Amino acid sequence: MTGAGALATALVALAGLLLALALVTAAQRAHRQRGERLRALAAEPVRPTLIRLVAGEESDVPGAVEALAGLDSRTWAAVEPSLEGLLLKVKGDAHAAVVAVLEQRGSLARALARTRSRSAVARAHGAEVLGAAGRQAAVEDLLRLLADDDAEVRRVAARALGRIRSTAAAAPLLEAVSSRRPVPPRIIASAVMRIGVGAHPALVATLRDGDTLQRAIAAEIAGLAGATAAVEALMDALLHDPQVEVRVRSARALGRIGMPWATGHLIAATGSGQPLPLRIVASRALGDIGSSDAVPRLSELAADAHHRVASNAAASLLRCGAAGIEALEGVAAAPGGEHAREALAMARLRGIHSGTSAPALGGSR
Amino acid sequence: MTWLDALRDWGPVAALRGPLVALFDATDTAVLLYFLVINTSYLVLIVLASLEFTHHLRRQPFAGLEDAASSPLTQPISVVVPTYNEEVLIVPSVRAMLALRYPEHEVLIVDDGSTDATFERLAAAFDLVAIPRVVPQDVWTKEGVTSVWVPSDGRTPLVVVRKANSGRSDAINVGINAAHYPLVAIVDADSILDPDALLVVAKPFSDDPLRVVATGGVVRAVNGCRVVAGRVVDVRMPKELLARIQVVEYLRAFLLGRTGWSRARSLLLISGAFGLFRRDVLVESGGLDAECIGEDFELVMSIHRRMIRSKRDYRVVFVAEPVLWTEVPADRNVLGRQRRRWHRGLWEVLWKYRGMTFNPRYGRIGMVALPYYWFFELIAPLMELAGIVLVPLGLVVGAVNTEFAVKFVLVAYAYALLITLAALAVEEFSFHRYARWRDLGTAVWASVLENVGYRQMTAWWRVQGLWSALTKRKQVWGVMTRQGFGDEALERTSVGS
Repeated sequence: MTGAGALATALVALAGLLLALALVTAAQRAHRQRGERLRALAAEPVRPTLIRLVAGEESDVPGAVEALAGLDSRTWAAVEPSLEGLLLKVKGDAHAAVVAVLEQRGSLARALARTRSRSAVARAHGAEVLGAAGRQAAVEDLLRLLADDDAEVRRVAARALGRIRSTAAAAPLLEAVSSRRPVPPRIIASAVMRIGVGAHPALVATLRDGDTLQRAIAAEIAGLAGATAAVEALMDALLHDPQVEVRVRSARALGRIGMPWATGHLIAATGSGQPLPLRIVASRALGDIGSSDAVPRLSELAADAHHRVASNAAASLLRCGAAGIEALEGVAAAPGGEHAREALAMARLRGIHSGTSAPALGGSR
Repeated sequence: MTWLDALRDWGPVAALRGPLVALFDATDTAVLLYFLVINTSYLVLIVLASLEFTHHLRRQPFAGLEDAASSPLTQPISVVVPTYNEEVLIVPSVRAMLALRYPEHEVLIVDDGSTDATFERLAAAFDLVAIPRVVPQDVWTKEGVTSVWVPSDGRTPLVVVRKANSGRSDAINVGINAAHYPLVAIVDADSILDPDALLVVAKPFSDDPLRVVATGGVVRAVNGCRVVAGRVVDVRMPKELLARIQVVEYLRAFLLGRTGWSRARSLLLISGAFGLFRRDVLVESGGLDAECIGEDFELVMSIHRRMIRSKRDYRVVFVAEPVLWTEVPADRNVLGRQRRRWHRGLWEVLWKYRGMTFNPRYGRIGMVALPYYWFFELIAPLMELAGIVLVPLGLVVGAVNTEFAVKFVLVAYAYALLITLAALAVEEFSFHRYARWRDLGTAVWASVLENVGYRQMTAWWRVQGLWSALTKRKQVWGVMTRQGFGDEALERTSVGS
């Protein structure tokens, strides 16, 4: 074949491909729009029943459940995604009513079966529905999915376990943060926090015996959850843990929990020989606790050479009562008191402080 | 004898025939290969992007955005917005950014010495007051901060930093210094973010917190769309031809091209209009190069180099989700300036990082992505222009077989059209943001027109940009003449006032 002949063949092939692509694109649009229209048409008559189910009087609910449970399969296919979506939007009786409908239609049994599907998307979908429905019976299956090959499935399973609030899931969740197939710390933290007080023993145990990442995330969660049971372990970790990351998170947690007897440990953590990230966080945690015992040390730190340490210490002094504000005004008046002046200015704006020595606001634009 | 035969027999024309025949003989195979490889590489990128979209969209229903939106562990973000003479759009832009759905973010406006009423409008709208805020010098900047302003309620998370004019990059560096939070989003003031934009681009940081250092999102053209209260509520094709063509161009190049590169873990460019970075990595990299006109490209290259040299496992990720809407030039002069600037920036960065090209130490960045940018992004307009000049000349002097040339040109443009239509098809199967049939028809027509006139015009501008870089002419950003978003809420307010 000559060059021109080959080009002619290529041209014909390209023209065919162009036409096919245009037709496929148009067909896809028509198909999608038709599907949307049909689903909307099928779901429209059921809308009042759905409203009765989640927002009606108590006496309306059994009837609504029965009506939805008896829908023909075509209408149900249009309604089921909306009901699954509602699981995450409603609480209490409305949530129980939605779960009852899904239960009767076999949706939850199918979701459980889907956790064993070969498709990662199906497994994730199954886990999402089970978690949103709060199915205690699914905990074992969801724990299995915590070690799934697919990262998204693991993430969904962790969130689902948090929603179910199973105490038994706390320790496996904390372990999952650094397992061979890990789950991101933020998702683990959210899940364990949802479990609540029941997870606190697992937090303390992990703080003492977990690996670095597990200890760090346990400390973070303990602070966010206000786990007073973990204070001793946190104070120990703050001063003695071999990893800076764990010490930093322990300092932050102690501040969030707010027990005054942690003040001495946190002051020690702001020492000039301590790692900078720890000094930054500890200077802020002292303000979270707000004990007047911290005022002398915070006054020194408010003029620290490092920006973040000084900035946090100045902001912390504001939260240490009258003694703290007085000390802050003293620092602001002295050379090197820029951070103190900034903190006082912000406090005035927020109405926290009305002292006369705060810098004038407004200025020329 | 026809007039063409007479012309070919004319002395100077006849003398040209020999050299031209020799040139075509020597280069025809290479040109054919170049054409095949460049278009096929686009096709490969589109296939990669399609895989990414399929993966992304099938998992979107359980992406956990709601969870991220309410989690106290979602990393807070400083949204840095460099601003210069944006008095028309700045207030609605800031309001929209403050209203973004995210657990904790601050909006940090860096007023780069505006000479219009940008600051005055902000001061009036948010009742700004000066505070003695301390801004660290973590990143070197040409100009220092002259004053820092916050809303008088002390609670609205807005900070306005004023400084003398020193350019966009330097303004961003000032913003990086003033940023409070561990993640820094760099956003153009004249852009519109989708309400969940921060959640969407921050998700990779949450999913892979140890490795992800930067993310970017899809930028789309806002021209023609209905905008209400700083939100795009109805996506439509623009009325202007140039803007229509850019819509399909953005779809192909930005949506699919960058998603494809990201899928191949070789993303070199996060648009300067919107990117999210770890602040510590920005500081380590020294911020943006204020002397480089392709500062967004330069920043990502700098991050790649630093991370690879220090043997860190890291990721630069492009999120396959439309997050930012920006006004594309509808005026030929403005478009020309933009494309000259882009190509000049491309050359500057490629030249600055030439040591990484074909250097196995830099893995697929050095061995695949950078060579691709050299051969197909930088040189493509030169090849295109050479073809535009030489093929007609060859036809005139009789150095080219007319039938072959015509068929070759048709095949070349049909293949290019196929690439753009494939991009449209992928958009239709994935995000299908342009809901009206009329818009789909307009997009197909714009795809045809892109290859007839537009491509040749932009090739000329890009060659001009390259030339100005090689001859070291003074670099100028130029002024983007904006038509505004046609924000209906804003217009009602203006009428009312």
